[in-house]
Amino acid sequence: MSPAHAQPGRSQTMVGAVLLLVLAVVAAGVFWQQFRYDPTQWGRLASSAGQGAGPLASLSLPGLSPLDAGQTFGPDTLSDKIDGKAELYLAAGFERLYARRYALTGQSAAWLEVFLFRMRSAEAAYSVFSSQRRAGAVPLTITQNAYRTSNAVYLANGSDYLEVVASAATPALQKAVLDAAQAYAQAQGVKKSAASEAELFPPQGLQANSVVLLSKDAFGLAGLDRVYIATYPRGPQELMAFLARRADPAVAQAAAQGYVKFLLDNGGKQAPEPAGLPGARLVEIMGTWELVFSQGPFLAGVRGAEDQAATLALARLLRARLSEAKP
Amino acid sequence: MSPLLPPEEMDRRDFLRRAGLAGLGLAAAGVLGWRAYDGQGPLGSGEVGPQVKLPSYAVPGQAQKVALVKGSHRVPALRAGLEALGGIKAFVQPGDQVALKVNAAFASPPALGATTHPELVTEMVRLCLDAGAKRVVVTDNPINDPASCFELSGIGPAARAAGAQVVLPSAEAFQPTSLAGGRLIKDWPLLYGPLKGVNKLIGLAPVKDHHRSRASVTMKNWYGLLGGRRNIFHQDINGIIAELGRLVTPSLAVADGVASLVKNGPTGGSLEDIKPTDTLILGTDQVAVDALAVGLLGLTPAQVPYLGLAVAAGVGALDLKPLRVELG
Repeated sequence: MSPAHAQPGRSQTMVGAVLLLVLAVVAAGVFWQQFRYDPTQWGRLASSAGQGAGPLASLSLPGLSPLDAGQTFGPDTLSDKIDGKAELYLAAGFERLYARRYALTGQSAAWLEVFLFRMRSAEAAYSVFSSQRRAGAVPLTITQNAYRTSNAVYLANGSDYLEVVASAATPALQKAVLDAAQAYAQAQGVKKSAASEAELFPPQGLQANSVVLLSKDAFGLAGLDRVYIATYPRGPQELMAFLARRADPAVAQAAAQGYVKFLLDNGGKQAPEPAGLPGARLVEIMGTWELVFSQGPFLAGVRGAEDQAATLALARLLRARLSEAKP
Repeated sequence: MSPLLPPEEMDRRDFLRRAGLAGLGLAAAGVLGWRAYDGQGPLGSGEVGPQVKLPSYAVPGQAQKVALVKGSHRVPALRAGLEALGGIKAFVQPGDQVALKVNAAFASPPALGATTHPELVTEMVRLCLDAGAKRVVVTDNPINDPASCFELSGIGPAARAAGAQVVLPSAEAFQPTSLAGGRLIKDWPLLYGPLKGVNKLIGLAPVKDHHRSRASVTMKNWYGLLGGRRNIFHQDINGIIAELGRLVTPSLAVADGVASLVKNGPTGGSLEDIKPTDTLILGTDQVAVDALAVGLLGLTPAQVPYLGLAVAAGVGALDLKPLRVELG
């Protein structure tokens, strides 16, 4: 066949053009319709929780009667249960929440609710446990990290974070929340806590149960994640020591420089390098002192104190502890 | 030879036959598409009514009034605060239909401070009915199961006992709304059913710490008028609260800081999260009410970003001087 015969005829061209036009109309229609998605999901008026209490279903709680079958929440539905506090859990590493309500047998008005949060790791569980710790709470020995308040028990156990909250602070309910927490520990077994870094803080003057793990954006600096903080009361003021393990010394040093830059960008003024703390950076910001350094794989420092001498003294203790720590 | 149509296999008749079949195919696809076309868009499981716009519920002549009452009991504090603002009759007239927007977000007991205290609900219902209100409706779209929330918080029984009608959210109670110039509230389901026929809207909110917005008071309370997957707004919590302030102009906003949830909000959980702050704040400027209330949480208005956004949007003022009442 000659090349001229390879050319399509007029009719073929017309049909091809019509087909292309139809395809173009379809594409335009799809493009236009994509803006008509339903962002609201009208059907979702009530909680979208799953049914079932998961591990709580098999919990043996003498003296308590379940008020419901229990509910299960995932990352997409956690806020259906705890609203704005969901972000705290999601940032730390949340996987699932099982919740179930129980009443004292024969007394439906005296009730408690068990919340079992399954977190991604023991570190994540410790983070949500420590960042919500109630002042004046009474430590418990059910697990390594546990305490009770007048109407509730809170504990971290491996990658679990458990809350048992009663509707009132009556003696019967106080006993019931404690029994429920113990029943959980017995059923699940006591697991190791994650907070080994917490033991690196100098014990001298450390306020008991004050170590908190900040999962995300510590001190307002985006990306400053997984930072342990501890409180040291010094007369009328408090000093805060902090430390964060990084992948290696170079990363820790870069993190320290990044935090110092953040302070300076926000109005801080750098002071001369303090004696006995080579490489440390001392910054005055809003009338308080911040001392930042890296030691091996650790970013560390002391912040928020008006007393420079106390800041430096605590920093020296912290640095000495970190220099003895396993890299 | 054309790679597309070998001429030895196609003559004019064959081509026309194929073109005809292609045309029929297209026509069939068109008919199918036309039959399947949903001109209204996705509706989910419920019927969606027409767009609605909330009217202003502001009472003429009562703008920019705020009272701050120091007292440790809700009922006398509410009465004293209303008296300072001119009495309940300045806000509720005979024949009015009043909606009380409570915070019944969680199925938690009143003592935990995460929801509006039933004592406040009871007293406000009584006052409205005593002022001649034809009907008082108490409503909210809770985070948890609505029936459990209203019962366990004590709000439902308290409202019913005082003579109010408790309206729980249902699919048909929601209608879409859009905030003019809004960035977030567009075509969003609004709990409008309980507000039909209502001409006065009163917000009753506890003063709470909030993990995302730092504070949850009267403006955040309007979040309970939204339906749908509203949790996506947590990514811009300050923006949505400021928009809610623009969407809702109440007759009166009441912030209950007699006891405040000062830590681990908005759910709390431990009684140790509650602090007696002995203050009730009420007024017609919701920004001013919230600005005073955040002080009970140890915050300044500058530390609560949604307040600045609300002021910039013209919702209210931060610096209104309250009428102070000391109950001793």
